[in-house]
Amino acid sequence: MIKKAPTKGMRRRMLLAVSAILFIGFSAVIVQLFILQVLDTEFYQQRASGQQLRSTPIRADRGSILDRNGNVLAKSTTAVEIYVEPVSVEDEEEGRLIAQGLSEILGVDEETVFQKTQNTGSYFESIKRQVEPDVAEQVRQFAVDNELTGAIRFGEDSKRYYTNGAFLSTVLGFVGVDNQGLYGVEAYYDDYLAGTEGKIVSAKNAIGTEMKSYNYEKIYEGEQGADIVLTIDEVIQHYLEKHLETAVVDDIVLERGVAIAMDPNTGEILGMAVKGDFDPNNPYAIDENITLQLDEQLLKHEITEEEYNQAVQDARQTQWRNKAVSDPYEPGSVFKVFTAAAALEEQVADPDESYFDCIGYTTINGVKIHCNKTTGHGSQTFREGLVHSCNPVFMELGRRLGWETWQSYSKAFGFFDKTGIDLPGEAAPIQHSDASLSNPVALANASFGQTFKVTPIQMITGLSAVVNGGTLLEPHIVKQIVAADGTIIKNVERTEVRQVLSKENSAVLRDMLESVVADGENKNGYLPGYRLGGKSGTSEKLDPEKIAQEEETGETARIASYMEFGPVDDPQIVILVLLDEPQTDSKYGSVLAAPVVQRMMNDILPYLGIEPQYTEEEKAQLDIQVPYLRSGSVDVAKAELEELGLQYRIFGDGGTVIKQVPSAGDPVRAGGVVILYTEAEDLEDRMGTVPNIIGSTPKQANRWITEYGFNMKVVGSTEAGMLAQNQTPAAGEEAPLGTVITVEFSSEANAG
Amino acid sequence: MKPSDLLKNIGTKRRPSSGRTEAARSSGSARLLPSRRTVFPTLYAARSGSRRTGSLDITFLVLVLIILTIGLVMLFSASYAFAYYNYGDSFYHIKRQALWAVLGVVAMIIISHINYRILFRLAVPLLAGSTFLLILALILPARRGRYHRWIDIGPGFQPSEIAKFAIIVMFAVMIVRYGKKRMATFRYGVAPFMVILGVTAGLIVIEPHLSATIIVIGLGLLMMFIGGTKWRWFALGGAAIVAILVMLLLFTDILSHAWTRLEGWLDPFSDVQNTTFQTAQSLMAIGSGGLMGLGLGGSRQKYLYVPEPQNDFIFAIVCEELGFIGAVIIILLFALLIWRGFLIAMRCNDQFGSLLAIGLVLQLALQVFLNIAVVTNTIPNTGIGLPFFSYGGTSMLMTMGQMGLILSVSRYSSLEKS
Repeated sequence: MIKKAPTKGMRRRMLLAVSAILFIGFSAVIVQLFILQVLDTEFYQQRASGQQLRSTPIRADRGSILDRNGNVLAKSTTAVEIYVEPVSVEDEEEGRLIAQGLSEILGVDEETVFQKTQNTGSYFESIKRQVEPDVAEQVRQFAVDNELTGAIRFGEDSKRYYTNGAFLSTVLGFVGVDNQGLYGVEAYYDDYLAGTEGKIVSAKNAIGTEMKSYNYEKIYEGEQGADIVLTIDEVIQHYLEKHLETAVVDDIVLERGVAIAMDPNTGEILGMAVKGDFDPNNPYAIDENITLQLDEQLLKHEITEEEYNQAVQDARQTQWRNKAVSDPYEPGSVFKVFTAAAALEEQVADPDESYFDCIGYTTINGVKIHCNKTTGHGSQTFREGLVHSCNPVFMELGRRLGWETWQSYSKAFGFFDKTGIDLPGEAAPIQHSDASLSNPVALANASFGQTFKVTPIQMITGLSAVVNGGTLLEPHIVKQIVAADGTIIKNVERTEVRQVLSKENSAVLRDMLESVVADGENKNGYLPGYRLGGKSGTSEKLDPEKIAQEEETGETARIASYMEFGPVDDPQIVILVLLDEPQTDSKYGSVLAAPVVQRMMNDILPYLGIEPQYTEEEKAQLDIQVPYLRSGSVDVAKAELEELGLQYRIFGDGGTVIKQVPSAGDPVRAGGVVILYTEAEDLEDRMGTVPNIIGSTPKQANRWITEYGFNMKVVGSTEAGMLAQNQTPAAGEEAPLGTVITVEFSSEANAG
Repeated sequence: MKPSDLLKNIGTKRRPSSGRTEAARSSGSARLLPSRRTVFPTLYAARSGSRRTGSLDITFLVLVLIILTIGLVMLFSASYAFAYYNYGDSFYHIKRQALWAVLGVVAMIIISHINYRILFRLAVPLLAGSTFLLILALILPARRGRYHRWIDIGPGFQPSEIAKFAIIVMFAVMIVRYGKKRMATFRYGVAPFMVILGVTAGLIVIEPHLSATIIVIGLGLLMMFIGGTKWRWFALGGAAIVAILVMLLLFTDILSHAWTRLEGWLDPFSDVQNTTFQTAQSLMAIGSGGLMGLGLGGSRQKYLYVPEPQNDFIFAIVCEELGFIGAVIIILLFALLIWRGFLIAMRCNDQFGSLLAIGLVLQLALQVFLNIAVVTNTIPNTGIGLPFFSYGGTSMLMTMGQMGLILSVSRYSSLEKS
């Protein structure tokens, strides 16, 4: 073994070698570490978080929509969101299996699902939202059976539920698959209702499961959606819909009907109905009759599939459309209210001092414009002109005002601007240009509400201004917005736009409009016990295609409308109803629309706590409540009934009343019949056949009915000129004697 | 202080060799194998109460133990999740590694008592044995289809680990034997070295095992350089290698594999699903650690993101958990250990001992540097474990054994000093 010391050169080179590695090599890696960990750390942190963290959304509950009294109209219910976690999908085969299974259960497109499963690296690919819990259970079973629980996942979701089905639907609107508001209040207030989505961020390992012993989970709370409280009163809305629906069906209204109720003092919409409408729980379903008709046409090859689909699409668009705010119409004679208001304010006529002459038409610049009564109304006051809805009177008023003044009032009442109501899709009016209106013929027509279009919401807003003391208000349908925690986000206050009419003239005009109801050709708007003011309108639709249609068929497309408010001395409610293209013989607003409003008023005024105050004359016409007679002696019953002016029929020989028809408290007319049964062994109803009283006067009808052993209940006025239009039960039906038969009376006589 | 002054200072610590060691040397050379007294001089010295006891370098030993302890703690943390998911037992790796570490410490202590000089005569058999094992590995069935790196005896070991050691010992012996003058010639200073290195590296490269090849060649060249091979031969060799590389690059597609690696190196996020997956994951681990780290045990990347976090890429997890500060402290500990080992080599008056120690120190330095450089993407990816940290029984034993040898050298020098 050779033993010698390392040479000096060796030691030098050792130092060199070690130094090289330490000072160059080690320094280099430290510099690199500095770059990675200090300078660029954010870049790598983001990358790392990107793959380590799993983010799953927490859907925010959509706020509820309530009526003004807190009744729930729309709410969110628990549903399931089904999504796939592509990271956990092993291969294409598994993706196929998932796609096939999910498309079968959920009815989603198989290829789309497959593509989503192949989106490797993703942890969240939504497949379907708003899945009902029972359907989700099927999916869960499928996942368990095929060991796909890692890939097919379930999230909390909510589904919109509209408590009353097809109720207030055009106002409420509906939501899409992602719970986003698409129409109506749902769309207009989507930002408030939707809330903010939150998320859960959790750590997971590279194979997608939770990290063991490392539970990182951070929840970013979303914000629940706020509740919207509407100005709508569920009860009022119910009455609007009920009576409007009946009218739209009975009068075969082709272009839908509208009813709006407004509180004239606040601008709050108390009810807003459009028929036909839809069920927001299933907004894509269209009217069965339309479907049937289309199916048949398709079957007969009258239409192509494309046309079929287009027709379905159109039907949907139509039923979703809120006609009350989106469709301008010719207001017709109802607009005479505004011409009258302008005339009063400008003092161009006095209600009872100024006289006008009507010969059935007025000739302006060689153009003959007719009155509704072609023989003429003769000499009449301004008030009478309004009562008769006499066109020549209003053409004269228009002339006296001049187009600029007339137009300035139209503008002041808001007929040149949108009202600003908080609903989507408010249409702008279609108005004459200055040049066009300066033509006296145009002004004459416009004076009684033809040749221009405004929306129903504009009309009722203007009418509210007329009756509330002359203040134009901004209409609104939302009263309050309340956050999920109960704090009030927004209170919608009464918003004055401008003073249009003096208080005095508003009162004068209300008085004139009461005359229209009380002294008009028919009493279809009259309601015993209430002082109501109203005005009917029957407008011709002047759209080019409607005129073309008229030339073809000889039928004029008309809109029958009626507005009414009450009580006259302190109006609490204004209702406007319009029926677009009724297919009845008589298309007058006073004939078709007035009874509808009257029925609404009949239900709503008592609900509003406005008690009827009958005149002596009205009292005589009032119903009598059948007294409680059971278990009393027959003699006492006889005496009681005689005193009330009621007839009686007694069956059996007992001394005590065991059963009575009608029941105690039921209203019957004077001279009605009460059936008394006196033997416990013989209580079976005696039956009779209901007589046909359609077309009879009230007096005739009552006589007929009582003769047959029945009683009559009246809907509508029983003033002279009224004829029975409807009866329930129908003629020829068998009914127990004593049964109250409801008869509707109305007049065919028109008032414009 | 100039480098020459430093050298002088180091040099002055040496003392003239004593007669007793000369005697020991001569007595040892007479026999084929050294006597037990020669092999374990310290033990015998202690027993006989004579002054032949040499004290080992305590600083070096303490540094080894500190780094080993940190290494074990980090291995536990890094392997925790991987072990759980793959073996259902979070302690799978740490249990085994701890056992190997204990054995390693024992081996180190024992070896530190062995007179390193027996290796002088064992150099040739060692090299022959290493070459045999390399060839055997090539003949034996491959692991993972194409890697002939292992010999599956017991837990299995890599003959390249032995080859590295054999090269150090063999070259040290050759340098001592040839002497300064002959080392300056091509015939002695270059040719025999290149033949041995060529054969050994050649056998390793066809395993294939690139990182081991690099280390073997690197170590061989460093030994030659220290031993006195002339500069110009390195320059010439370097030029030749560059020329060959250029030729290959121009006329064949042999290097296309290397080229994709290079591309992956330049942009570690270019192919994260495939070739750069490991590097990208490693960088995300390191980078997301930031200055202070996520805290011990706080790594997220060890949850199956970084592949086999207990092996080559353990340092990435270290960086993620301990941050830049922790990583630098560990690197500095390694640097201290290397510096201390270097001092042992410098202070050794025996040329063979000195060369042996520096060779082992350089091997450690190269491994540490290459590992961290790969993990941090400072150089292209190639598989190299981090000594004291990475999981593996044989590499732990080898490392600890080599530390024992360095300690043996330190003990011997101190013995001489006394």
